[in-house]
Amino acid sequence: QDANPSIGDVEIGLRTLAGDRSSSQFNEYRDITPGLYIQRASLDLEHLFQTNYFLTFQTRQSWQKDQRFLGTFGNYGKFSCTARWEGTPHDFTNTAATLYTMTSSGVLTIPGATRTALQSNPASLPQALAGATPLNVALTRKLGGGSCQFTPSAAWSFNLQYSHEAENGYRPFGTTLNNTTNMLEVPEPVDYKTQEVQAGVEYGTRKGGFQAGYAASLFGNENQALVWDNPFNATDAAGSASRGRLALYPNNNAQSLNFAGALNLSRTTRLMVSVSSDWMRQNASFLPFTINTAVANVPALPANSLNGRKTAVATNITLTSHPLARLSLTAHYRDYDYINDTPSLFFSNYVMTDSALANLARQSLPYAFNQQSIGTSATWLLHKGESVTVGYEFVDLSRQHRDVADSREHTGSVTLDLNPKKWFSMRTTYEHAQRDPQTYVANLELYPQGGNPALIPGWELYDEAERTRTKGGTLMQVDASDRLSFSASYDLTQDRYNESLYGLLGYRALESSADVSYQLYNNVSLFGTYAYERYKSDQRSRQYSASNDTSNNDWESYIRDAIQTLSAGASVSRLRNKVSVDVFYSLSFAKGQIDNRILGNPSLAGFLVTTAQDYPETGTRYHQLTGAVRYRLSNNLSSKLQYQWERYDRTDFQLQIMSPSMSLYDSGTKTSLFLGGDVPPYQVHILSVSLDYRF
Amino acid sequence: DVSQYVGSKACDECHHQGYRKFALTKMAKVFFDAPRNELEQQGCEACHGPAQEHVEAARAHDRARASGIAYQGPPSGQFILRFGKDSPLSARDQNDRCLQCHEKGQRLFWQGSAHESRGLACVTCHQVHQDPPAAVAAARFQQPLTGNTLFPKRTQMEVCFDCHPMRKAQLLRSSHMPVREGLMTCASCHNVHGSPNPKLLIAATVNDTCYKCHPERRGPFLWEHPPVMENCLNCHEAHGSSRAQLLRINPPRLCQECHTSTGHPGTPQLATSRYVFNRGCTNCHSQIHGSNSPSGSRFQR
Repeated sequence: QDANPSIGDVEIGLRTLAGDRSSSQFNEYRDITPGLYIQRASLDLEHLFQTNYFLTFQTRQSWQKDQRFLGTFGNYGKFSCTARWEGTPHDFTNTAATLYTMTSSGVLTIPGATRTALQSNPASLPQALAGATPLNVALTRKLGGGSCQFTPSAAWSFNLQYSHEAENGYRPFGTTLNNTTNMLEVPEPVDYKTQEVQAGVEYGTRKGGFQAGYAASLFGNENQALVWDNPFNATDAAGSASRGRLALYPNNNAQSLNFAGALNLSRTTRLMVSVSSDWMRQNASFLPFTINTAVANVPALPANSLNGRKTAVATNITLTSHPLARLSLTAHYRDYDYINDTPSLFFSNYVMTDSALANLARQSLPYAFNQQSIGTSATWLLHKGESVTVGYEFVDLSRQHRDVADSREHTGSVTLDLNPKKWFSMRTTYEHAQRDPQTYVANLELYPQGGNPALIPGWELYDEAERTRTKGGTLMQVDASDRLSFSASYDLTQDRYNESLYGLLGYRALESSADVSYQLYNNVSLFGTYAYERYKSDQRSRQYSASNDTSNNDWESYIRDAIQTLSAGASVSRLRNKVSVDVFYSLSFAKGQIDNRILGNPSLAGFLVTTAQDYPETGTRYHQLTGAVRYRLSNNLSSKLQYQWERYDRTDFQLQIMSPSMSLYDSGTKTSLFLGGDVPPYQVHILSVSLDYRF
Repeated sequence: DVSQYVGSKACDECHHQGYRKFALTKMAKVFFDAPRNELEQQGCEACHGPAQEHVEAARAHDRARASGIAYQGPPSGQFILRFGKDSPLSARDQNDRCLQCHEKGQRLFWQGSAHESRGLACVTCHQVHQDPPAAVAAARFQQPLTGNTLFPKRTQMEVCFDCHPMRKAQLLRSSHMPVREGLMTCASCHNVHGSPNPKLLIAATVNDTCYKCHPERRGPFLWEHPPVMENCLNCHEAHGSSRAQLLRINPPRLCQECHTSTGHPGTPQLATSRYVFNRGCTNCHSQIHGSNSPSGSRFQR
């Protein structure tokens, strides 16, 4: 093979499937269909016409939804230009059905007769659903692009890149009309186009170098608004909308300039700096407050569009040095400034769920933050492969319009790398971090104009609250012999929110794994891995009303997840120089529990918490078994027989009960309509035969 | 000293297999056919150092063996730079050879980076002229199309999994990004060669990284959800989850970590309630990533 390297190959096969392959889980990001398929093809033409030009081409899953093409043309060391085409499917659910039809861009309608019938008799929904259209709610991304890199010398290079991505399809989307009277889940039409351009220059030598670049990203949404009919009301009235309208993701654009440079100050010291600035803009026209023509006294909009302007400036400075042969020092400074110059708009009133005026004022806030961090670490090399590292980092986070205006976090860490034997290495890490908000002003960020009751005293948002984080972990790797290797890891993370009386109180994660591989013979290897993860969190809340706000209505939720992952397999390569075999199995098995407890006394007057019941256990099981035999028919031709078995099971109380009508479960949804989207279990057998020709 | 260099052809005499394999790489094509500077002109010796003494020792050894006498001189191996686990050189010294040419591009921030400071050598993850991995009959993780296949494992992801085994477990969960399907790799989000950004991200923040594929969520929006704007990971577990949409915790509990109020936010809610089934809170508050509607302050429009 080495004497006569191939310049290309193509693998073409025939595939058959058995079982339920319609599940969106099976098809989530791929397209496995029965019949003829091209698994891959490649062409690698070096030294075209005895010159230094080359041309390469690769493809995978050709002419499937997840197809990939990549072509490169270039001249060794001088330039290289690449063209790329990629398709990425994304299936959400295959069990949906809808009464809606998209009659024009972003407008979902239901026939008038159906609406009239449902308005007069909502209980006739099951009969109306007989006419629902089954829908595979899915998206497809199609990306095409190209890039060129020129290297006129070893030190200089210039690059240019362009891509265009189209994202089309539907996504399950929840809407509501008239408060929660008409919860209407619809297939949101998605028609996005994103263009990206990048250009850059780089210079680099052993003394240092720099990079400078410009990038622009333009996002466009063909559906700026979603309009949908209310199947249970055909006529607008105050407090009862016949249609709804909302703003989908608006067109936006972002541009950035970036610079990075590095300079070797001496043979042992290097200074690295990067500065990047991103400008994000959005100025799509606002929709009116409501589409409901019966709502009176709707105020005028304070502006026709947002004129949203954000700038993010990231500055990083890193100095690294090896002043002694055994000592490495690193210090870094980072400033990330997220500047929001978007105008703050005041709305004297607004229309809630296209139903009626909320009679509440609202004010948009230009949230912004600045994060500065400074850190240092020192590593002392004990022996080759053995070292001890001590690190410290300080982070100062200033926020605008959030409950915590300023918080500081100190993190200290120690890492010990041991390599006492050539065949044994171990890394142990311990980290402790303390985050302290300087002041906590509750409810500042959500309702600056009021209109909602204050939070319970002691409630803190977990991403801003005081937090003590402790992390520890170890990774051990043993190469017992040339044939046997073993590794194991164990990591523990614990977060405590000691000053939070409500909200998230604590989080604990345990992650452990073991991995063994054994080379039975030179061409036979075995492997096995096992991982166990356990995550726990506790949160506390209170059910209350304006007139009944006591700690007797406190409740707590304990969330537990346990995930086990197992995989094992064997690989035989070039048996008698003819046969290669791969067999492997993997299982990911997850269980989740959400237990809910009352903390008060139900016998006391005013007790409200009647729904704190444990949720049913959730779980997923994903099995995958693959066996493949490759047989070399000749120097250039080989055949492959592959069998795959996949099985996915899920227990999910939130999804598996879904149907378009949910009134059996919640009587409050008698005038609501859902897609009924589930992600059903599946079991699929895939058998394929393919020929791989190398030329 | 130029006289200490013997040229790559001399290497081919004894290290034929390695030479042939290296000759197939783009790097060799530049070195042998289109060198751009003196270093590249040195071919094999650009990385392995001047080989004059190595060759002389090897030839002396061969002559002694041909004459049937025991070779008494120093082993030829001590006169050449070798790479890998058995090399007498430290990882830093080994990497120094690679960085002669590669300390730019993605490696500009290699020095002081997480992997550099943990003593990883370039050859821990890359191979230049070893055998490529054995013929693949089947793969657990598909490798995306790439021009770079100089990995000691079948896929780039498997290289990372050696030291990050939990990431493999997370990617096998039911809710995952299309990594095992070969549509993404670890390098889609991380620059493993060093980055000035946290967690070796390719962009300045977690959100900027996510916006590479989800630019619609970038905004700015009229109504922004502050934890969303600050960090996608406040709600999502990027490497895989057993919850839908890569969520950390099922709604409504995810939302109730931060939200309480009179009415439904402060109520535990039954499992069969419309506030819980399907997507929980986002059954109504679907514009949770940001709304541009004047009536969208509660992310329902």
